[in-house]
Amino acid sequence: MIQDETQGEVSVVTARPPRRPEVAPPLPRRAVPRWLRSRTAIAVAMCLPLLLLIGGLIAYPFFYSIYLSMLNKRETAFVGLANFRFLLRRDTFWLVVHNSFLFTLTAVFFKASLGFILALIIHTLPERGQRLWRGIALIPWVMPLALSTLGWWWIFEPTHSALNWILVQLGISPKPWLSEPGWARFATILVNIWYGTPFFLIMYLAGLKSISQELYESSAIDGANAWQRLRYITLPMLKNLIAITMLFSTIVTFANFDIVRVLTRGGPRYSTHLFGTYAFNVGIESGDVPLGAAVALFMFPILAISAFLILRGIQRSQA
Amino acid sequence: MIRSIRARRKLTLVLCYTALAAFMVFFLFPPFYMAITSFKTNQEIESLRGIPFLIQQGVTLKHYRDLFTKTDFLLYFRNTAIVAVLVTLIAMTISVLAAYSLSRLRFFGSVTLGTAIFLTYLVPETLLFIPLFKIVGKLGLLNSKWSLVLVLPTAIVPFCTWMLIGYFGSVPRELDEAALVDGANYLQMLLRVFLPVALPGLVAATMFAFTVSWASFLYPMAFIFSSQEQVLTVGTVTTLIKGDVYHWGGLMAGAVLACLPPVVLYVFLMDYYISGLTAGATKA
Amino acid sequence: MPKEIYGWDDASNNRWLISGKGSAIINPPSAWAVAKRDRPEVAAQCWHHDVPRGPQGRFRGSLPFTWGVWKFSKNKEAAKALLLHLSQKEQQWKLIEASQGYDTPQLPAFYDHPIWAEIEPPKGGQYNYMVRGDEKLVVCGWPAKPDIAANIYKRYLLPVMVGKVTSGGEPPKEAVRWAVNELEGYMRG
Repeated sequence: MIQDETQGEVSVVTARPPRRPEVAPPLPRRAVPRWLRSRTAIAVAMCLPLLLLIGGLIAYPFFYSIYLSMLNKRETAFVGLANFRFLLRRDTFWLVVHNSFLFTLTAVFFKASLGFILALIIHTLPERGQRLWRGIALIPWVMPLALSTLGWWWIFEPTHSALNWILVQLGISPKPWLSEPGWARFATILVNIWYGTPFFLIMYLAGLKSISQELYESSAIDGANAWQRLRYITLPMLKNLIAITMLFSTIVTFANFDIVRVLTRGGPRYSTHLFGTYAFNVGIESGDVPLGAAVALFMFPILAISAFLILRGIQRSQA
Repeated sequence: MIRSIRARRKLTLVLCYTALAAFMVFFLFPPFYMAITSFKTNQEIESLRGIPFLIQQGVTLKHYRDLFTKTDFLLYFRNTAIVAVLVTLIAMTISVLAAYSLSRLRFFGSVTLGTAIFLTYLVPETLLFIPLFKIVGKLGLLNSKWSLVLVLPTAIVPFCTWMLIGYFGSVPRELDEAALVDGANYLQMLLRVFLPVALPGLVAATMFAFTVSWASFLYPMAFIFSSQEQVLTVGTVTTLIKGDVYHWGGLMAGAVLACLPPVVLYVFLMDYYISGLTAGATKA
Repeated sequence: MPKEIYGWDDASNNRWLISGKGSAIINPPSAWAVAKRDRPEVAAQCWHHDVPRGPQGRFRGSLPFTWGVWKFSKNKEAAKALLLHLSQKEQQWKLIEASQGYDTPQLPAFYDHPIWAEIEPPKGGQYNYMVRGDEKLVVCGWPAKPDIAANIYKRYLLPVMVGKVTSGGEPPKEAVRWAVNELEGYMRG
């Protein structure tokens, strides 16, 4: 989607159905001028519902949110950037910034690495088993996150923690999973890794399948070992896929709400609050809508910058 | 030489299966433990003796029975089903039309629109829920499941459109152009010729739309506060907890049942779903 | 106290008590009710007593709920009639029985329900669960104005402040400075 409008025809490689060769060029346009005119109208009409949706329920609320964030608490007076200045002076807000970055960077790093390792593992296995393993591995991603987090909560529960039971059996002292800031952060990140790794797995696996086997065969003839094949064939071939997947995951992880809301509600001592959960706490639960809007708006420039950096990376590698 | 290669292959496989087993335990542990807990008696759940991963004091269906007879679970289930089905239909209609238009019919502004779809990712639902809360309030839809039908497509349509653009690209162009030249109008061509061929992609996108709307948590949390209109995710997480008494057996039973529809659907449509999800991203 | 209390939810003290790990909690009789249901052997050893008196008097935390009708309600008369109906003795007693005495009525006129004299153990030990003497009920956030008090409660200001010292090892002054910084946020107009 990001490139094909500018480059015209781009062949698409999918897991299935198999790649189809481009056969004939598109019809010459000059041959049917009337058709062309109505064609544009139809194209716009088909996009109209999408335009309405983006305009009415994404773009308008976004700008409305900027307006809201410039009102006072009672929404009676315009205060300019005072809410943003106010937030920048709050210890709690900076803690939320710190938490969000820690959560996102750690979780995305582990999701990407574990997903890659798992994709390589499954790719190595005999073909007939792969479908089953891939299918089972995606289950965490299909379960509604709020509900599976409820299950994790029960796993971490202070008095009856099943994880602590295992630790005690192994002779390790039980851990205060949800009551010490360090462990609570670990717990929220672990749940996110559990939920997100499968997505990376299937993306990478599809990518691995699209790499031509001939490349590996000819490199093997040249005497490349497994590490060199990974370093000089697999990784370069998957570079764009890795970048795109990481971009999606970064955005979704940064904007996560369900895990923290269900597992810790931001505690202990606000140490696990993310932008989303803190904005909810401030804006909805405490009735300070403008300040909540201001908290949430801080996400936008951060996401935009990370998207810009990743996309520029892709473009550079193609140039 | 041949032998050593074979031995190495065998060793690799053993290592792979070991690591794979560890991953599978990690992935399946939570659903397994949730299911086990939901069949335990309250006494066994509260007891600190015994192995947590086994049912040692008898299986009980009490938590499931209570869910249906003593709570609003069925009401939540119905609300969720209504919302998820409607949202899926709306989102798919919008996505299919836009994806066809953007992947086949280049027009003035189509590049801009493609960029706009991408930009919507930078405005996640955790940013939108506060202004939408005000907007939904102004429309008089607060505390109504129809608010979810209105806003949930925003979380689904961009990704679905993107997915479908990727998939539609793999359908040979001559197919629909030939139909058009033969005199079919666009609607006939889409419904009779194009969509049947693109079915795997459609199934994947539908599945995605359904899963996301079924799992939505933030919007119902923010917009809906009465039991009558509540959906499964929020209902299970909040109202099944009674005061300061947590029925973990009941909570787990609720969570297991609420997870079933998307998971069952996924088990049947797994291959379509995975191929559709990856279609867009694996473009070279 | 166990380290885990900083991760406790509303029911954790109940579970802690009946798991056999804990011995004393400050709680209405629900912990005992859960014990009776799930762990009779623990329930048999439960005992209730009043909050001790300190130099300033006897204090007890409370969480009041109120009923009201919105200004913008479409059906004010019917709503008022419903509230009046619910406030009658017969209905109030039903509510008291349904919560086994856990939820208490706001009007002292309903304190004569026998349930608090019946709740065990010891029999009659819960009689003073209703304030009948000089106990002072303390509401979280009091004496701040309701909207600020609600923020203090909803954003866990007090537990977090205490936790910063007792669990985070911060000096009390630093924790109070943090709380003042937070409060400024609640009080902004």
